[in-house]
Amino acid sequence: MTALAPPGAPGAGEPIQGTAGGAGVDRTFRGIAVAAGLLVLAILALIAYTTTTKAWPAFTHQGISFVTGRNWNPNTNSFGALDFIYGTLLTATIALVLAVPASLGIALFITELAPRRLSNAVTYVVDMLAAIPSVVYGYWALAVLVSPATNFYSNIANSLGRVPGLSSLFGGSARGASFMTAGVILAIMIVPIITSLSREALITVSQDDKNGAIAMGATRIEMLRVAVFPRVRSGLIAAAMLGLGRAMGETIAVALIIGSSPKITSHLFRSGDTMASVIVHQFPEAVDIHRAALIGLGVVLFAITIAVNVAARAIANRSVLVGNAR
Amino acid sequence: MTVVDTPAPPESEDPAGWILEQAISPRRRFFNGVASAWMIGSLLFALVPVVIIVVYVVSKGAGIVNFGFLTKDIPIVTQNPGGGIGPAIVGTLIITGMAALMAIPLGVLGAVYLNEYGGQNRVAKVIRFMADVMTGVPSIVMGLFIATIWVSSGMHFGYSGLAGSLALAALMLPIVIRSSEEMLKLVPDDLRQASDALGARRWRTVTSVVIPAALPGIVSGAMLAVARAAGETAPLLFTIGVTTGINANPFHGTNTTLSQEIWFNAQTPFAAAKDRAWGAALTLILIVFVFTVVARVVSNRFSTVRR
Amino acid sequence: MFGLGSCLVHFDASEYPPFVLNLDTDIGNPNKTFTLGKGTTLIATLRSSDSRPRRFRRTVVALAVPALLLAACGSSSKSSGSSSGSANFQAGQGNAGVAQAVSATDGAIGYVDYSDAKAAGLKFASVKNSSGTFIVPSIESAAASVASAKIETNLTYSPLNSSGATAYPITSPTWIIVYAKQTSATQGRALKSFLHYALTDGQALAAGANFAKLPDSLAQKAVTQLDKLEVPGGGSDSATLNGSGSTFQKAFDQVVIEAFTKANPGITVNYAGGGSGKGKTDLQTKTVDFAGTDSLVKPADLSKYQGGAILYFPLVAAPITMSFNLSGVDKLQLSAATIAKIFSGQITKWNDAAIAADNPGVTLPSTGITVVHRADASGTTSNFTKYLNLAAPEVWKLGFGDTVNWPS
Repeated sequence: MTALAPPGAPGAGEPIQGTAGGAGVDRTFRGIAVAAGLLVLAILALIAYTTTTKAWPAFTHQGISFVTGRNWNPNTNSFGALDFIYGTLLTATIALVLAVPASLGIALFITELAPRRLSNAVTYVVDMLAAIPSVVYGYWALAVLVSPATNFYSNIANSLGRVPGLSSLFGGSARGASFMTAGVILAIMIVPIITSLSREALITVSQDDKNGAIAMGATRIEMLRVAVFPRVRSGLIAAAMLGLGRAMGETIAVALIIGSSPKITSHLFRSGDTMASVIVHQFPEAVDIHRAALIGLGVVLFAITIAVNVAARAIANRSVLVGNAR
Repeated sequence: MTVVDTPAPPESEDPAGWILEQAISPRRRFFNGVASAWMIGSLLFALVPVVIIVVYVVSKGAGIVNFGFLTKDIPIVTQNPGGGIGPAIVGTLIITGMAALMAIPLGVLGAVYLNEYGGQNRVAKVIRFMADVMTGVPSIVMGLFIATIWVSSGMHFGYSGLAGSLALAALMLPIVIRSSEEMLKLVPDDLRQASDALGARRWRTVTSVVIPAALPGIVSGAMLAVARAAGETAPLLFTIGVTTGINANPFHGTNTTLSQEIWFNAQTPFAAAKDRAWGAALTLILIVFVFTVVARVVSNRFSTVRR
Repeated sequence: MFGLGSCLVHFDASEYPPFVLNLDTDIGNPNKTFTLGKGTTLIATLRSSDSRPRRFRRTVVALAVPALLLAACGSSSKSSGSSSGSANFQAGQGNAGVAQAVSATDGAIGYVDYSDAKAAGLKFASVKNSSGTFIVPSIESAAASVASAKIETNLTYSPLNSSGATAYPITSPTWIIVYAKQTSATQGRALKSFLHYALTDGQALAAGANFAKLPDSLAQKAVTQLDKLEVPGGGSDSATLNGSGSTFQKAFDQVVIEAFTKANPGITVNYAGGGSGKGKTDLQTKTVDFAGTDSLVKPADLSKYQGGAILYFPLVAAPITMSFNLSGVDKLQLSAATIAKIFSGQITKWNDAAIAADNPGVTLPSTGITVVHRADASGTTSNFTKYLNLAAPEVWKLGFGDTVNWPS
């Protein structure tokens, strides 16, 4: 036994100490990590605090009708933001409904279907999507999409829009600058982040698990459903939440193509307005309480994001398979 | 247990395909086909817009981009032709670079704390919660936040490149934290346990094993945050002012970026200004894309997990 | 744990009383009957109960019921579009956006400032001024409007709906505001020099940028007011001035800056634009040296200006054009009441009697009118709506301000 033990090593039964300097470095590193965490907390708290105090005059002036009222008229100091809240939620929902399946499909393509070279190429294509600035998306959509979209939507409104169940979605007047167009552009913009995170999550699933399912005779989609999705659920939901965050917070691209005509309607092809685009449109001329009200819209978005994230975490925590994730 | 008796495949047919047809019901085969169609369809959903938009920007901007355009100063009178967008390129590189330097290390370290040290304790839960909430905030609100506490504050810092960087960093931070934390979560515990078993301290495990394993994912998330920051206009409108000459000092004096110049120039009806806007757009897309590619290549070199 | 979730879904133009559906008790309750008309407001209430699966199921039902009702309700009755007779309103980003929308749509009309409208090649309508003459928007008619306006002692004035015989009634003024008491010698000297240039040599550049220069008397008064600018002694010759504010005057500011900095190489001037509200707020916090604004500071806000009293320096003026795009019609005349009716959606076709009355002898097509307004808040909207409020108060009911609730 003693022949095998290196000099200076502890005998049997004693805890391994490691080098004396290691403990100090460990403490320091832990300290740095904790400090970073606390600094992040301080910054985020400062953002929340500053925006809320700046918005407070508008909240006290308007009361709860800030979020339930529909009359936003700065000239009469009336600030009811419900139409904008609806617009934000509707465009973000359209964006998620379009982007999540598409991003998941792309991520699956990269990890399952494609040979190595092709999957690298696809990754770079998705990166290119992310490299396009939001203002370019907006102006491109404005120049290229809005006019043809008006005709396209009119055709759909006249055909599908007459079907009883769908008329509430597709009926009514059709505008190129509308909820639908904004939702589509947002979907394209959030595909990179959802794809990227989903792809990272999917890669970690071990081939053994997948092989097991295939060995049992599963087709590809059955294998995914059984062996892959349960493990990566939390990662996929986090990806979707980040995409949703971007969709709700996107300012300039939406401002250019939403139509700036606040309303609450189920018709997707009509113009509307969102909170972020109202802020960017009205802030340059706003003073005093109007300014406070616009910052208040940002605070309302905090609240909405909280609600959505709570719901998402509730769904995520219901998953049974934990796998290697913590 | 039921025994399925499959006869031998006939000579003329491909055995694998024949067995597939026999053993798997049409319904299952249909859904399998749907899955493949879904994956390829999704690819088109990403591919088609990229190609269309990039071709559009190239067609509108390529004509104006040349060495002179990339280096000359911005004309004082927007509607005048000539000049270039050199100051905006410098501005974008400096402001986005500083924002990345502030947000990425802090975000990754914060994620390390959340995943490796904090776990589910109170502080970590609060940080996670706040980071989630911040991801949904409009970029313009971050700009207003910095304008309030820095630019127009009692200290009268005024417009500067640094103020813009702060706004962009505030925008990037929640994204970097959330995505890095997810990436760290995905590193299998086996690796950590093996490292512990070898006698490594926690810090050693984190820096030598966990982070390199998660590196491609972390870099991916960070690059997406940088790409977003480089393309944002709204937070900068209230923090950096304008300039027509190069200002390489981010701490003092107004500045401008490519995204801001696109916004200003595209809003005018003058052909020269619109050309400039598209030229700037093309330049920005190229800069960000090249940067992303380089980052991915470099991170793949340093990562320990084979992709 | 007690929670109350409510789902409020409201469709356009609800004239029906709201219907309250209590999901805990009403579902499956044979005694509860309800009628739904198009546009009924549906309020569904739900009390969260103890067990999680039940709550989850209720949430799903709570969301599914309105969704099904939504589908069953069908489309709302109001479908706007030029075919059905109600007005067609569109929004454009910035003056250029409105100009772009007008030139892309036959039958469109919008308010665009003069330099952007000229650059976009749009046709303008002549507007009837308060003397009863139809005036074409131009630099001369804008200058006439300023000349016939009453100038206050602090050099503020309103040229809207002015009474001069050749005055164009929708003329927008603009000012630069600065603090009377300058704290920095270098900045103060540079500022005084810049303002002096803008009010003297710079005025000659206005026409080239499609602005009307100030009448000589007003320019002279402004130059005299420069003496009120208190600048400490000393300071160096090289300085950087920062300004922000009205985008309306930005084009003029830029040509002045270009010429001024050429003549004074040591001075750099940056004008960021960004809106009158931004300029005023920046000046309040002393983030900028000067602010451009199309509208006056409200007396209640004067105390917010940390540097003390402010001075108004009028700069230039320019017409706000009624730009239109109508095939077959090159010249159009509009009176204030007609404009007000068009922009509030009361007139929807070009061959309406009111427009025909303003244009005797002109054949007007029956095209539907597409009204283009600003999506963003703007001093141009503010001055345009103020004009309508002054000139056609019995017709114009949408108020005035840099943003207005346009019909949709």
